[in-house]
Amino acid sequence: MRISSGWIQQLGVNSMLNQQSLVSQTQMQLSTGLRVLTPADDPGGAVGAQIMTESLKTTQQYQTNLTTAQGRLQLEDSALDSVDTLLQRIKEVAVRGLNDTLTASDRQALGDQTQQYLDEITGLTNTKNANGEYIFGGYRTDTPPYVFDDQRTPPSYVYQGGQQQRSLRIGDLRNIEDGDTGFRVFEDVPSTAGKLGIANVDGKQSLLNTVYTLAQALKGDLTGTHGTLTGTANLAGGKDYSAGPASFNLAVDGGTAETITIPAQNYPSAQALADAINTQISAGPLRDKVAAQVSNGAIQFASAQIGPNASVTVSQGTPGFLADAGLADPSTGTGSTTEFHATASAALADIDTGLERVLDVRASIGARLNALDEQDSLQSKFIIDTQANLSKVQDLDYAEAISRFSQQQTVLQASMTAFSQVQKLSLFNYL
Amino acid sequence: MADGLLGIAASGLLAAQRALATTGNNISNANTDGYNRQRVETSERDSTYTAGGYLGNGVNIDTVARLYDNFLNTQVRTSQSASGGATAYNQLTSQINSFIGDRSASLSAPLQSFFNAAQDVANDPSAIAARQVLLTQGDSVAQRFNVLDTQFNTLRAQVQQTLSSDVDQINTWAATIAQLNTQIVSQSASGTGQPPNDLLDQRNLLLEKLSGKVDTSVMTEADGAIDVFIGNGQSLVMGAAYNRLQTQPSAYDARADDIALSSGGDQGAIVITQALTGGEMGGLLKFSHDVLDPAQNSLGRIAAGFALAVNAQHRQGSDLKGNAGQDFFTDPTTPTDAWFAKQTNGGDARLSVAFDNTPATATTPANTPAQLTASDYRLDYDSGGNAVLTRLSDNTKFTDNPAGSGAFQVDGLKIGIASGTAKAGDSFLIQPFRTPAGTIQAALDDPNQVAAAGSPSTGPGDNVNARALVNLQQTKGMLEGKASFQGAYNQLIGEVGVKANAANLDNTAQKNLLDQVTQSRESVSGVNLDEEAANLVKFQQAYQASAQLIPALNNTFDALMAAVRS
Repeated sequence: MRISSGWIQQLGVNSMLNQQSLVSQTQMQLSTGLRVLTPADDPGGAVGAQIMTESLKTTQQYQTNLTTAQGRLQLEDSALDSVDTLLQRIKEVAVRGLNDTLTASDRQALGDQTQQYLDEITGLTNTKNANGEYIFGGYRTDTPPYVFDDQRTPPSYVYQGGQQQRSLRIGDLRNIEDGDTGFRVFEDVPSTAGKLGIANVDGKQSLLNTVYTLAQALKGDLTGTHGTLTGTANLAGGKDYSAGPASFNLAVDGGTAETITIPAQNYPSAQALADAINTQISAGPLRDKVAAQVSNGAIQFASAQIGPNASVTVSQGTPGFLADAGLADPSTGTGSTTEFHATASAALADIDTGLERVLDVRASIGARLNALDEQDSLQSKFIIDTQANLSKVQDLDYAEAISRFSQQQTVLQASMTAFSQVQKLSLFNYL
Repeated sequence: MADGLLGIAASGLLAAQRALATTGNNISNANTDGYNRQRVETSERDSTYTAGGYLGNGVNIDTVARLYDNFLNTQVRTSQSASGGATAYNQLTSQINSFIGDRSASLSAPLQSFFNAAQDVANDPSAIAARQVLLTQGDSVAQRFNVLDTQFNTLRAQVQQTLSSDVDQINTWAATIAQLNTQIVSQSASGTGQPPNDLLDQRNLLLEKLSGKVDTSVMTEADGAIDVFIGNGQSLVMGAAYNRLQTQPSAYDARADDIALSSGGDQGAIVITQALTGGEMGGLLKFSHDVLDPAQNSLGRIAAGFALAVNAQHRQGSDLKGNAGQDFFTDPTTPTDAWFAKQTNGGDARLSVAFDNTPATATTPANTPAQLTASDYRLDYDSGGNAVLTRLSDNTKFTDNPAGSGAFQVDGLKIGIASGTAKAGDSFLIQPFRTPAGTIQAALDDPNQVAAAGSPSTGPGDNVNARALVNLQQTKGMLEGKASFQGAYNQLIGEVGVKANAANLDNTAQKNLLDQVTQSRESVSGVNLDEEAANLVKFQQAYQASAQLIPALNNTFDALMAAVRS
């Protein structure tokens, strides 16, 4: 076939340009170490690499979260370890104090010691983590969970923390609590002996107040039981007041009677009823002076005050509620002075359940730390595997690329040589 | 008889001289664009009858012909169009391809960092530093959306500019072709019927350049003039007359241009944007329609869906001061510039276009951001005044509900008449996804405003809502609930990657094809210098040989004279 001179030159130039673009593409791959430079090079691979990078970064974030949770749980565990030791010591002190041969001043000294231990425990309940958050405060990480309020009657430790615990995400669809609320560890603890501190939810004690009562008893500052009044009707199944509100009058320690109105609503349990009553109490002048609670399915009113002068009196408001609760109209319950032995023994029994709770919580911390370890090794393996896969998809095979590079260079050189040789050929040279 | 020999010698000399001149012309035009090699065509002169038979009278120069194959040139033009289109399409598509999937410039990294920052807030909801990082990452996400959108808009402007400079270029060429037509017709007629080779070459070159810009078809008339047609057979050049291409505001969006052909007469310009195929203009329009619009809409859809989801979740939480969460990003519910009324509308209706988030009820299905389609829509009032909404990606039609209200709740959109009334025949173009990526902005500036808590009173350690925000990373809130936000972006990367890959392959194939047909044409019309060198020798020899006839005649004559003298 005839070929024009211009075309011969164009062919040579085209082939050099093609080779140059191939060389530059390979050079780019070599300098970045990447096989896929833009999505067009391998659309499937590019998207695959993108997805893997995302899941890699997400998993690495889970690992960070996991480390955070580990640190916090370990801190909590070491705090609870100290609480455990202190509670053991307090028990020893209490047992010693029960010895009838001791004098009042001996007991005074043991009481002071107990108070010391209690102060240490209070300090531990107010432990902060590295970020300055109170670890036993639940969501209320900015407030010390426990303060001693001497304005109360009787003076007592008040839990100011939240009742919900924060969860951290440690894996896809996997969350773990990074601690325990003071409420769960020290407040919501079953009481075998009954209420010693300020009136609380039925059958539960406040561990710090139990220890405080023990210290007070040892020091001879005995107070007494609360004024309590318990209905005889079992309301465990609740009561339906949706037809209309019910009310009654309530007086504490011989003070003025206040009318408590239970809003019209269906109350599915005795506790719901008690909660509704407490809400009404809190709204009025009787706040912190009396609380409704559930005792064996019956509604019980307990005054905050203890001792012989403590009393609770109820009288009829709208007919219905007192009868429903199994209370006469009017009826009064009074408190009484307690006796050292009974108080100290009860406190000891409650400290035992408190110790059990601390152990339970520590066991649960241990279980969570194990789970974290497992998740950690699972995700570490995932990270390594994903990195390997990612590398397969997007990274350059250097051996292949370098040999390709030198081959392309050779071809480029050959096309340059061919071009210059062909350009030299001309019949005019021979004329 | 002596006269005859001298005549033969003279004709041989002249023929050789012309052949040498033509060879010289070939050599000197070897590198001229559009030049077709020429050849002197000769024939035997009529012979003289004698008793001894027919006696030859030398050589005639018939014409200087150019070696030109009409079929091959048509092939080159067709190939030029295909290649010009593929090059423009490939060049622009590869630009999107390189910025959308770039490791550092794409949306993936900031989205990932945003969700990781949300996890850090969940770990430490009371830490101001972690909250600040989340705000900063939110800002990065918004800015990355903006930057990508700006790049799309830059490409859009580039397409418009190139189209309008192509229009100018084509108009100039069309005028020149018409002028050449006139000259060619007059020279062919006025001369001795000899072809004006230089003018033909020039016109052919212009046709070729024109084909590189837009697909053309050519018809040759009997007098040598040509007619050039573009698009669906709209005539650009008719002999000595030509029409002008122009850009004009499109029927709906005055900021976008349409290409129109104007004959200068009364009937006005005809819009031929849709009909233009092939060449650079065809490639640009195809890019705009097939790659740019869908890609920018996809990005806008992700921006809107992402901001709507994050805002909705953020509003459910409480900030560090116990206040209810606010919008994290500027509210994208009502996109700007989302609808355009057709210029010819008779009514004064103004539309409202908003993203919807209505959960399913017993009677109606849900209409949520997960259903957003990334398509444009058109709302038409038919001759009966009934509103019909058309989804332009697949031409699905929807009727308004309740009938006659002009209100639609489809594909995660809420479209209705905001004010005024529409008349029969009115039409609106709806582009809800063109602007969200460009307008998204982080709305919060105070780290305290990050609503990490699930309720206002639980305390600063509450991370319930921060974790809910983190969950959005994996929520399949896009593409009919089949993809997460990152998944939707990955889908965009994949789509553009596949298109860019195909564009690249097509471009290479079209170039090769063009090379092949050009080579075929060159084999007929191109100048080969070695061949010309050989011709030079051949014609020199012919010239020398013819020249030798003259001394031969002279000697014969001398011999005769000497014989007579003696």
